[in-house]
Amino acid sequence: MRSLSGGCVMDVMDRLAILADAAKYDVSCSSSGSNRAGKPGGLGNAYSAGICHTWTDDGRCVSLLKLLLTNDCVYDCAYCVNRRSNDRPRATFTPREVADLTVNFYRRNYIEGLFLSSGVRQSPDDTMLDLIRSVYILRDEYRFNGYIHAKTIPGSSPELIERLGRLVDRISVNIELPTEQSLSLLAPQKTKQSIFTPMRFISGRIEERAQEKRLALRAPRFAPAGQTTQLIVGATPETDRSILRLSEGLYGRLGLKRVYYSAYLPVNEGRNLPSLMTAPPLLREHRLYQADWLLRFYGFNVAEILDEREPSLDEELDPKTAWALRNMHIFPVNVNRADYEQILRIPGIGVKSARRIVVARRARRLRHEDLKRLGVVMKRAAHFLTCEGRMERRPSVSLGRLRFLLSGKPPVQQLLLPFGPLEGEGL
Amino acid sequence: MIYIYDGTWDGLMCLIYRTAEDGVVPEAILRNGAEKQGLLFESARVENNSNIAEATASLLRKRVSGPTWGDAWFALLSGDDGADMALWHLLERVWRRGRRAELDLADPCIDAVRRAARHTGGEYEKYLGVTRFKDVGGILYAQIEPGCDVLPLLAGHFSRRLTDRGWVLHDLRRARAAVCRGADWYVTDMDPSQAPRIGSGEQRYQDLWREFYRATTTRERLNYKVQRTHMPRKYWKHLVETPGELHGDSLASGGA
Repeated sequence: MRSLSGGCVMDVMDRLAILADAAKYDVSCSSSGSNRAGKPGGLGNAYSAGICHTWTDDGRCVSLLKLLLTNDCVYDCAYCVNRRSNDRPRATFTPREVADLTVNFYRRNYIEGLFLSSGVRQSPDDTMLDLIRSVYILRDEYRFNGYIHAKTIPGSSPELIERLGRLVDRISVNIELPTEQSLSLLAPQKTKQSIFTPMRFISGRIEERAQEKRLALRAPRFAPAGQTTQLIVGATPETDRSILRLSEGLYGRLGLKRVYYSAYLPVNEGRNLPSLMTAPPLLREHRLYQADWLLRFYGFNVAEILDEREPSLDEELDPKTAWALRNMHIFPVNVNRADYEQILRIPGIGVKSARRIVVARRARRLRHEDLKRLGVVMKRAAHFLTCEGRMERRPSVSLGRLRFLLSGKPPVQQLLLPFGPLEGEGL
Repeated sequence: MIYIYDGTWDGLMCLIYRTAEDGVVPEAILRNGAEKQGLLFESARVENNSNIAEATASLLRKRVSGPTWGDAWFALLSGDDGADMALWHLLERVWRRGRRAELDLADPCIDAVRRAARHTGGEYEKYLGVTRFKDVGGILYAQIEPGCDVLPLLAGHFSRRLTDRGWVLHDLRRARAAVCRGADWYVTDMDPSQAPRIGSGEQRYQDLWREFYRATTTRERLNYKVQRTHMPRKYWKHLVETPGELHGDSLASGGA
């Protein structure tokens, strides 16, 4: 047990409270993407779809034991609750304590595995070594085959990232701030390079591994569940468009599995930060996730969702419906004839129902009542599709009226602002 | 004709064989114990015969795709109203017309089987997460009360996962338990009053878990609705942690 400032030794319980609380600002929770059978004499396996074990009162799922190894940090990032200049209780786990907690929680089926991150003690490499030790004890000594997600520490050496990547399922570097200006403003000790260099290194290793696998060579695995990152939303003035363009690049060029968006919770006072009274922009975060889904599963690109004139997502409508309303000339789509890709673009139809439609229509001509059975949300979709060349609902007279029907909000904006929204005018 | 069978997979196979033999479409299919008094229709009880079951299954299996076969099994475990009848129609149709019949996803019977399978699948996935084992002196013990008969599915999962200890998974609702030592597991009858006492050291980890659960909650974003959408109250009873506390609705507080 490590003694803390003041010389008192804190119980595991107290340190768990501190280090779980300190880790909750990292919103990644998934335990998916790895499929690994258990081994005799070992403990655990990885279930590729991921498993949620509980939901906290904020409605978010708990899948992994999410902890910081320590909340001591030499950095002083303005947005971070653990920054050096904050007067907060500090605590540290030893690698063995982390391993012990993980195994005992896992065995009781509380968790799917471990998500370990850390504040930066002394140097990035020292911290990385402690992360590696924790994971090594789990994998080697406890023969733990469950899921492990580890964070790499910005500025640590590639050799250590390599070692960590071979032990864990998923590895991530948080970008946090979407632009270099914001980074230099709020996290002056970090640079764009210190973040993107390890990300590029990791994606390179994952790609190499994939190629080796194609050649059927037995190579040591490297983060089989891939790489993720997190962006803070609302701490800095970036638009939704610039955030999504960054995500698009990360998915495309670096092959990231997920980008997480975290509505900024004002935890610190600061000249360059929103005031402590600011509510976290939860709706904006939600819309970003919806748009992110469109990028990953629906074949959209950012240019279709947002442009320079309209760089923010519509708060009243989900981005897919908003896109459809801007592109009414494409609709209605005939579900009995259209391609899968076209059907997927109809609001109210998801990936599963689109797939079912293209199968089911081989057996019969689909009617409106069939679509409901296939999982289509007709309340929305009815405005955008036809079955037998007729629409269930008459095309709405105006876009404003349709907008109202789909968002549940009266079309005030249309009447007040015929020349587009004025700056600073919110509804 | 109304057919009554025992609700097992083998029973269903025998039932399909029997109806093929009789050359009839059943008026209804009931499970043992669920038959009503004074049936208006003629009824027949289907006896189980493992040879017939196996032969029927292997014949059917050749005509049914893997996913539909899995759906059929899950639908059977759901015990949903009408699922048995829908299953019969699905299997009979696939039997006659081959896999083409499976494509007709908009058909009410095929849809009913899919929904019943999804019911079981949903509960199974939920219990993969919310099942809580306790250390009862070297072995692990957990209680569940699922609506669908997911015990065999869960037992398979935990036998692949909890490989370093023996465990017992107790379905209180059906008074049955899956017991696992090493890699093999079996299902046996177990009275709900037979719950073992927890071992020493168990309380400590339960307390640690509750502390973690509290600490990892973000109080600025409380969202009761989303919490209950993902984890309805029926899953709370056997948890160690106490959901709903910050909403004034934990089970302990006796909320609505």
